[in-house]
Amino acid sequence: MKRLRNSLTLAALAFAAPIAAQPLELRPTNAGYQPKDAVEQGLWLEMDEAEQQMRASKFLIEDPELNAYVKGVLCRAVGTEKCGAARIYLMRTPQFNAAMAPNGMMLVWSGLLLRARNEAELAAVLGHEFVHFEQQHSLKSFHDIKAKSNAMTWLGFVPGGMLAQIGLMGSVFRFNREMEKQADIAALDYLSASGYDPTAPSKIWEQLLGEMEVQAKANKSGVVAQEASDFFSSHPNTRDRMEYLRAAAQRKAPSSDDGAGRYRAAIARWWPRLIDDQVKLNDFAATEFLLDGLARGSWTADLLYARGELYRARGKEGDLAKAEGFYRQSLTKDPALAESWRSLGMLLLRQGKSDEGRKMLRRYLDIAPVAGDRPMIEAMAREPQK
Amino acid sequence: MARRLSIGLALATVLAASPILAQAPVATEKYAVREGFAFTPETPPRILVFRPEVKVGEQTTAGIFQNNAEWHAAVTRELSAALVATGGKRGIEMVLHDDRAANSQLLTEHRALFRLVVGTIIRHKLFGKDPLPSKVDSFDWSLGSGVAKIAPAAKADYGLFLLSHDSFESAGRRAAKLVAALMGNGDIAGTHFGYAALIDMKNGDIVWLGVDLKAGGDVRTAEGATQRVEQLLNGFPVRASGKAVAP
Repeated sequence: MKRLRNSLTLAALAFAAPIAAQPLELRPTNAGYQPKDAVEQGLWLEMDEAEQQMRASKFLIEDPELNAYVKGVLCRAVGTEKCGAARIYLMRTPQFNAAMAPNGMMLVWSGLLLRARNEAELAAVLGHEFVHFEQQHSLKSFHDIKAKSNAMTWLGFVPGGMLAQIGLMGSVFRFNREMEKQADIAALDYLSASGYDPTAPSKIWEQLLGEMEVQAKANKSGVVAQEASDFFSSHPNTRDRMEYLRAAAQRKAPSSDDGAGRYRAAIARWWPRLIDDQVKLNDFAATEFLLDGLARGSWTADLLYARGELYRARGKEGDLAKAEGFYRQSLTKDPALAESWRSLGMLLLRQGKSDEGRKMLRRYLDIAPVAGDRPMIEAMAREPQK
Repeated sequence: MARRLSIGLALATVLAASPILAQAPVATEKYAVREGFAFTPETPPRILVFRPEVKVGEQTTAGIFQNNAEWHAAVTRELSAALVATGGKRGIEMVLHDDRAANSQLLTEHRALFRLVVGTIIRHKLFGKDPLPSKVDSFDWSLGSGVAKIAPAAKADYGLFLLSHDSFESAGRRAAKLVAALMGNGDIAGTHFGYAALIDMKNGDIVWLGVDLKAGGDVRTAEGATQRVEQLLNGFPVRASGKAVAP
């Protein structure tokens, strides 16, 4: 019996030994993580300096409430014990994008906030970027590029080495596409585990693909830029992404929690500025598609206002009349929407309906007495001297 | 998107570098002084030395730049020390500025502006082939009076900005260069680029700028940093002589 116990102890030791020899590996998302080797330290240093400049950027959205909300969504998605390692910077840039640096700096462009229709979609993108950070994708990518480019250099000295060089270049991009896919799938796990609707990631890509198609058609290129190249793409093809995410979502527990109401409330104060930035891109077809996708058949006062802005900005024949209609519909739904009064007023002035226009501008000033553009609008709303 | 861009840049570097063909630019060092500038002879000028803008690392076999944090700390330390010591030898009081202190946002903005202005000067005045018509006979660039708010407590007459970018060749890079040379190709040496500028802290005027496109000295060491600083301060306005050095 004793011998048996001894041998059991030995067996336990034998099992325990390799575990003890390999202490739990710290991830960058663990508190107190420090970069390990010279390569990682170098990458962090570079990013720390970039981050210092980012803090001084004029494009930074500093609104503490909005920042707290976005951070909260990340924390719910990936867990409060980990999310603290990431520092989110909201950038006022109207395109759809987010990026992650190896030191924990996460950039989220405001065009993403405009395009996401609910909290689950935002969580999907934040989760994706977080996985890049957690799994050290930038570091792996650097090592991969370094090793393959070194090989490419030597191949450059060999006759016929060029084909192999091209092959290696392709493999750098393939490596990146694999990491993107890995991040997509791991982010879906996070999303599902935190109770969000698992179909959100595929939906956001579906919407983006639609926007790109409409844009390509309007530009008459007929080719969606993202889809044109495959071998040298750093990200998976958008359609593939949408499809594998959709298939993966079906294997997750369904959830109807997409947090759409919370999301709308959180970005409400920023919405007029976000849509204003988008309208100024002068990309009519894509913006119209975007608004249509956000409305999904039920046009809210905000969306009608945005549509009015879009038509007013283009100003082709018939556009101004349409814009006027959209503003009036939006004000029927929500008479407190100050921006809609302002735009309607300006539109009427432009059409020569000065009395009515000035009346609308005064409504704007009544509702928004502390507006930043008050002096200018007051001047426009003033009755002309007789 | 950001990641994609960096990959593209890295690969562009590789393609440009292999096989190694391109010639290094003609090595030159030049400086310019604002017309009529001289330190006041009565009191020794007090110069605020801003944390040097350092980028240092290794050039991989393929020529990709690999940042090195340890070297970065050493270069920052050695260059700052060398500046203070060199200033002392010339009868100039050099004080180190604490970058992470108050008003760092303002400093970050001015650093960005400064990089842009110096880039313009290098391209259109000192080295480029496309001079700006309005700047042919003058050297009157300025960062504006906003610089006065960066560090008023330091009570400095001037501010000194210094930039140093160094990439040291890795063993693999040296081997690849050797092979390229044997095959009759030219080489690309590691980059060693630096500039220093003196700014009037009252009005932001750039009163002196020294640029070295192919700087010497291993800035990771005390001796090398001193050598680099001596080189960069070539043409630095002479104190108390009352005479400005013409460009």
